[in-house]
Amino acid sequence: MTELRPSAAPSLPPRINRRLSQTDTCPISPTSETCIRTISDAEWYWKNITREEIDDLMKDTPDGTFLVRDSASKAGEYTLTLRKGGCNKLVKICCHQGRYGFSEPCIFNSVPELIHFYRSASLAQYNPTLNVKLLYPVSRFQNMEDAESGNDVDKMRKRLEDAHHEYLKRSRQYDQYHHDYSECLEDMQLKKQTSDAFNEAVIMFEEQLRLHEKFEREAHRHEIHSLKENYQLLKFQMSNLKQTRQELQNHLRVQTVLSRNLDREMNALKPELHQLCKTRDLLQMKFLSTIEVYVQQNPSVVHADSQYWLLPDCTRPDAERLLTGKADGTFLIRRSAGAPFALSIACRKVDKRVGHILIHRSERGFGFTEPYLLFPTLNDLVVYYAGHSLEELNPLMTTTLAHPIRGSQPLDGNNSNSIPTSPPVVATTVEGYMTC
Amino acid sequence: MPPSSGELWGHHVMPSSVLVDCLLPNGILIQLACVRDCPLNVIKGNLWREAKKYPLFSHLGDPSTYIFVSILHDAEHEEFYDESRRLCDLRLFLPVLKVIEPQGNKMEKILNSEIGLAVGIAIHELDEMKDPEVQDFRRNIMQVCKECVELRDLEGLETQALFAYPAEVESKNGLPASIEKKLDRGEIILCIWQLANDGADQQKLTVRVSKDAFPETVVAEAIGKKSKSLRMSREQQMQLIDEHQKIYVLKVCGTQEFLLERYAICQYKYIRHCLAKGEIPQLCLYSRREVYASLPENTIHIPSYMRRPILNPPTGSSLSLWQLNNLFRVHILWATYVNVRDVDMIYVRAGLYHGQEPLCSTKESQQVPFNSPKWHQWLTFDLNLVDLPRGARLCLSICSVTKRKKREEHCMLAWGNINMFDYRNSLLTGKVSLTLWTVPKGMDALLNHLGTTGSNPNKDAPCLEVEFDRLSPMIFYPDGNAVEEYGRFVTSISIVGPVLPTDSAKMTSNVESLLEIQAKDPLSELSEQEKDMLWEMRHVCCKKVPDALPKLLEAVKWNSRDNVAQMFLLLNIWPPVAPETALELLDCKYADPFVRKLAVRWLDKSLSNDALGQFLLQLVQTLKYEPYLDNELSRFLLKRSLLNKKIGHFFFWHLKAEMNNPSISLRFGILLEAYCRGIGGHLKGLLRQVEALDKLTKLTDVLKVKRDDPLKDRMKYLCESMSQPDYVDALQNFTSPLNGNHTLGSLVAENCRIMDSAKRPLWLIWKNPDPLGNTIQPLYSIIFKNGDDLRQDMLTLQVIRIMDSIWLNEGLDLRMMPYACLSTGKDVGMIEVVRQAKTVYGIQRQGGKLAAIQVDSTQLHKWIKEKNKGPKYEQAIETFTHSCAGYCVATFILGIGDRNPDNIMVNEDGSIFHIDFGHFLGHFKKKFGINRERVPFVLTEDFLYVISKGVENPTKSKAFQLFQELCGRAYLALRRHANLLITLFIMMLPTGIPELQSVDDIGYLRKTLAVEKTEEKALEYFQNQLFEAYGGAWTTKLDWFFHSVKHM
Repeated sequence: MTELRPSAAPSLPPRINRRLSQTDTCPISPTSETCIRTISDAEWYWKNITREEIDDLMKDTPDGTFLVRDSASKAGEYTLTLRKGGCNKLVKICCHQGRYGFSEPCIFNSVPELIHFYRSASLAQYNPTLNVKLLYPVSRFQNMEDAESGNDVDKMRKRLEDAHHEYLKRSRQYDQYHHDYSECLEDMQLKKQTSDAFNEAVIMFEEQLRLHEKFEREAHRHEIHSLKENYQLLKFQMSNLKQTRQELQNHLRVQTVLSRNLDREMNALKPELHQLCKTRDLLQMKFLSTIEVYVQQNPSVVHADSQYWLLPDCTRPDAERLLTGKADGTFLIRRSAGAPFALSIACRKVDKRVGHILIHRSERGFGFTEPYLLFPTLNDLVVYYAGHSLEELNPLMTTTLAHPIRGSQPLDGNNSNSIPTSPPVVATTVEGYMTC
Repeated sequence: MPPSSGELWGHHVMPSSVLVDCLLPNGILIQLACVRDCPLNVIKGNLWREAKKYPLFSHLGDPSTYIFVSILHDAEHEEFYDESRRLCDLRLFLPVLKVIEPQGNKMEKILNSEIGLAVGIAIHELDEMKDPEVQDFRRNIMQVCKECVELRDLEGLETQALFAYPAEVESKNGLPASIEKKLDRGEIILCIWQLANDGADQQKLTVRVSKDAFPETVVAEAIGKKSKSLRMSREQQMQLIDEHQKIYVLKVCGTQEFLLERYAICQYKYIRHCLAKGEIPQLCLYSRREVYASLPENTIHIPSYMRRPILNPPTGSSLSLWQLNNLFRVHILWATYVNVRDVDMIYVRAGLYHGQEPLCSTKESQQVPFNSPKWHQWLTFDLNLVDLPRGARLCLSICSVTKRKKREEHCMLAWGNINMFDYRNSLLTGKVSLTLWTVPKGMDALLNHLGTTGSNPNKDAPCLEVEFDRLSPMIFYPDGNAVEEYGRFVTSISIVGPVLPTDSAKMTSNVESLLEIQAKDPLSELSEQEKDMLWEMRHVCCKKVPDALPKLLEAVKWNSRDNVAQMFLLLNIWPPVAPETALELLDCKYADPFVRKLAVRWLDKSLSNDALGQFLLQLVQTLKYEPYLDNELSRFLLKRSLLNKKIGHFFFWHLKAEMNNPSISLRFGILLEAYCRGIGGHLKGLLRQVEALDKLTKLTDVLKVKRDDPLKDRMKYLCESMSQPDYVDALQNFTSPLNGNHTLGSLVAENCRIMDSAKRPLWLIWKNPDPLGNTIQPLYSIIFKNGDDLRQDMLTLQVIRIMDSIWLNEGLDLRMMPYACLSTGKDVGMIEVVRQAKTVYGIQRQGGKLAAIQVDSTQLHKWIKEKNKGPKYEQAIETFTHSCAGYCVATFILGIGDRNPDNIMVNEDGSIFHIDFGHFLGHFKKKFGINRERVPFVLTEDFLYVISKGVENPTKSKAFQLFQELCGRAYLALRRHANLLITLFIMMLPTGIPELQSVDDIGYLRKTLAVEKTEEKALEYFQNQLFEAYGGAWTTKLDWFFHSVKHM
């Protein structure tokens, strides 16, 4: 069994270059392209970024903005995405016998060389409608620098959490406004219709009053009195109508003001939301890169291999049975109902001496809670938390994922249970419906 | 808050007694106490009796010379000609009835009022509209109605019957292999019933016929068999058959479905359905005369607006667009009501689009303070007027800029779009004021170029005033001849001509790469190289790969007159494309009216009624992409609806369901009006359905107010309400909106109930009034829901239905259960209740001995075993395994979320099926709520237990292995139709379902269908997903698996 990847999720924005973890190379200035030999060093190269993400990055950018990504269909080839005339143009970068170009004959030795050439020459020589140069690279380093927060991981995490919670708070507020606004509009629509209907009714009564006046002349004398009474009744009904209409219109005016206020609040909140969303995403990317650096710097054969700790069909009671009496930090990962997976870990401070934490998954990756659902694979998560305490999730869990259950066990008291080397027998409970 | 459509303003349901202000023609006001369900004629009688006591009675004439008139909720006047209607059903705004002498054409007024009732829009309001486009449409579309009425009358009653009871047949004659193998030497056993003496006397017999026999042969066979008992000579028998064969037709027992047309018996859906389930079809002999007698009159009343003078377009000097030599520009004047605070500046953004594609760069006005939205600035585009394509639209928005730190944040505040040419081909000139629309939630773009065109009817919204050059009083887009001529001219002067399909050596490889491009899914992006190649190869495309047309059209440079004219030349000779391709051409990407027209023509030729029925939901939605009211798609849908009542039934409801949407209510309203004018006497039946739903809506509105009352009280209210005469009348003997073949008889009020779920839906049970209903299906159970958007459920079920037919065509019978579900209005609709089915949760709980959380996974298996004793058991397990595989794959591909044992059901023959599709395309909580759910896929221990027939370690069983293989085959079968599935979802975009807002949402399908992968890689991906979901239960050993699947 190898890595478990959330392959259904769209891939992440490209991760920070591995180079960052190496201390002996100095970072290359994003603009000095001439010295770039390999494509992976280029700021405009975004690996296997998805189309949605490109659309997002290049939205409302000026003509000449560009980036390069891997070709979706052919391994080893690339695609240039170029902004022109308000939309994105895709240009295939073909590779023929180790040389690159937009069409035959391919004359460039590398993609950076080709890009460099067209930074100062228009693409019109290749395609007359693409009369633009590659002016503005979409840089994947740029963003990183914006989210500067030094290398203090704790500080960064604090910022990330703040940004996340602020974002959630604001977006809930926005949702509330939006909900109120839609309701208000709908209600106003009704009231307007009702007000129209009242107008019609008033007209109808006015007509009747005129009719009444016309017929008054033709009435017999003995009828005059009751006729007058009837006239008064008509007038009375009419004034009732007018009064109700007036009240309705007053309400309508109040609501119009309310709806405008709500609309204004929403319009004001939106830019803020965008900003917060961007900040959070940047910080998440930054955090992800620290995860990657950590994982790379701490190679662990046992932690990185799921067969030592993944017991998919294990149930919660099974896990408790297996982990009771084990050294703190002995753990396994199993399937669970509320989330794709759950971690079960021996820890003497918690109830029953075994703790359980759900492992969730977002489109970005696995993790215990937002905004940290970022681990590309379960294996990365395990390696990372082998070196980081779970305390931040649960103050009682003062342990790391120290000992995979099927790895070599530290001797701890009366540990004589043998560890199953094959998956445990599937219990009869339906995991799908159990809570962790 | 006053309810909108209650029986009176401020009341969902009218009080049982009301004081009605009656305004008499002698000026007198009489306040008359009336009971709620009093018919108008009774009120009139009482009124006259009362009026005697008042002055001026002598001035009143005979009551029959008067009619009542009043004001409705929508502020419209209505004259009540039908005096059998009840007070509570009149939709009165206030309890006021005015008595008047009727004027004008009574017949027409009655018809208009009925149409108004059915459509939900006042006809006289349409009559008063000034917009020439509306009046021209209403006038011209009557031609379609007239033609259809004539066609229905072609062979008199015979063709009329075919309209009312169209044959429900599969498009293809051949039986799928899965059914074929169930037949005995290609023969079918049918059970034929005959009724005599009003259904009191029922007889049945069985006949055996060839699967290809026509219905008339079956009738003859049945008569022959019956006559055997009469001991006749062969000759007498033949004569008897001859005499009676014409008298009888075949009818499906218990429903209003007839087998009237000459199709092979096995092509009829009902028969096929029975065969697939291993049941004997139940038919009955029905007198042809009675069928004909049941038909309402087939007439058309020509409305008086047809006699009004035609408004001629303004005359004066006119120019062709191609005679101009100017850049396109627009003068941004000012805006009203821009509603912002805390922003630094606002500005206007303008872009010219052709479908999704910008024709040139967007332009921005200067930024001004938000409290003085005046610009007076010309924005000049980099596009010459001659290059403006016919389908161009100008998209405008007002945006705000907020400067924060070093960044600027831009936000769209309001948007609006305009067609550059009107429906009469003339270019917009002069001043235009456009009332803008509010930004849909979650939209980040700065223009909404796919939004509707035209002004927002809500005049409180911001309004933008713009002006176009008035270079001549009239500027026309050149006509077809001029375009063709220019196209030929351009071709003749170009140095490098396109590649022609003559060079055979070069051809093969070219055609291959064209085929490769053609196979790409509709959402894949083409590179510039591919576009160049398509354009060069356009003649090859036309000859050899016509289905690559959508891709070629993407390669056309629509901002170049030369390209457009050459493409036009080619389109004139383009051969018909496959229906799936034609559907794709109706997407908003294809903005050219001529392309859309061609696509509809091809569809009209190639789509059978069955296929049309399958795609109707989408086709109705794409009406929203049509730039003009009068378009080929509207005409096509109307024509087919007026020639096949089954199609018409759903056409009506799909349009009617969206009449509350202000941006399209006019467009859909006038189309509905045309439908109602064209169906003759069938309008009455439609009205009955509308009225019944109206009653139920009001009733549930009251129940919603009472939602926290004790259930007992609510039930009491429900029962009492439903036993009132107006409810009894309205809710019995009408056609089920869910299925035009089902007649809902009387309501079984004592068994109806209020359900527990959040929106308190009603569980309603009707008797089947058919004489043979008792033997086949005695009751119809339907859930009526008020408060939930059912459009997503409806779409999901329809797609599952299409998947089912794809599988059947590929030889896989996965026993899907796409039960009927219909949205009939905003957040209102009906859902069919599947008989003899229980939720998995209900079955699990049956065991009872365990606590709720510790579910016994053997219960489901036990239950199925109990319901299917003896030989039926094997069949039930097979049914379960197949349906489980089908739903596993379907829910995986569609990303259906929130699966739990409460929304998965199993029926007694073992079919498992999912219900409640509140989340799809992987949405769990979208965007502002953060997450997308993991790939949903439900295969729990209980299911495995059933599949493996209760063995220990089910995942190791052979049965489970076969199940996995079945899933893989089903997945690959759907993948082969990935483009169709994606197209269907693209076509649904204009619906505005919250979870289907943009192309990005459909990206989920591209992912689950693995469109960019090879078949082998796709299967691997699928297996990995399942592996992940089942953490090891699913095998990942692909080699054996793939080989067993690939060569099927």
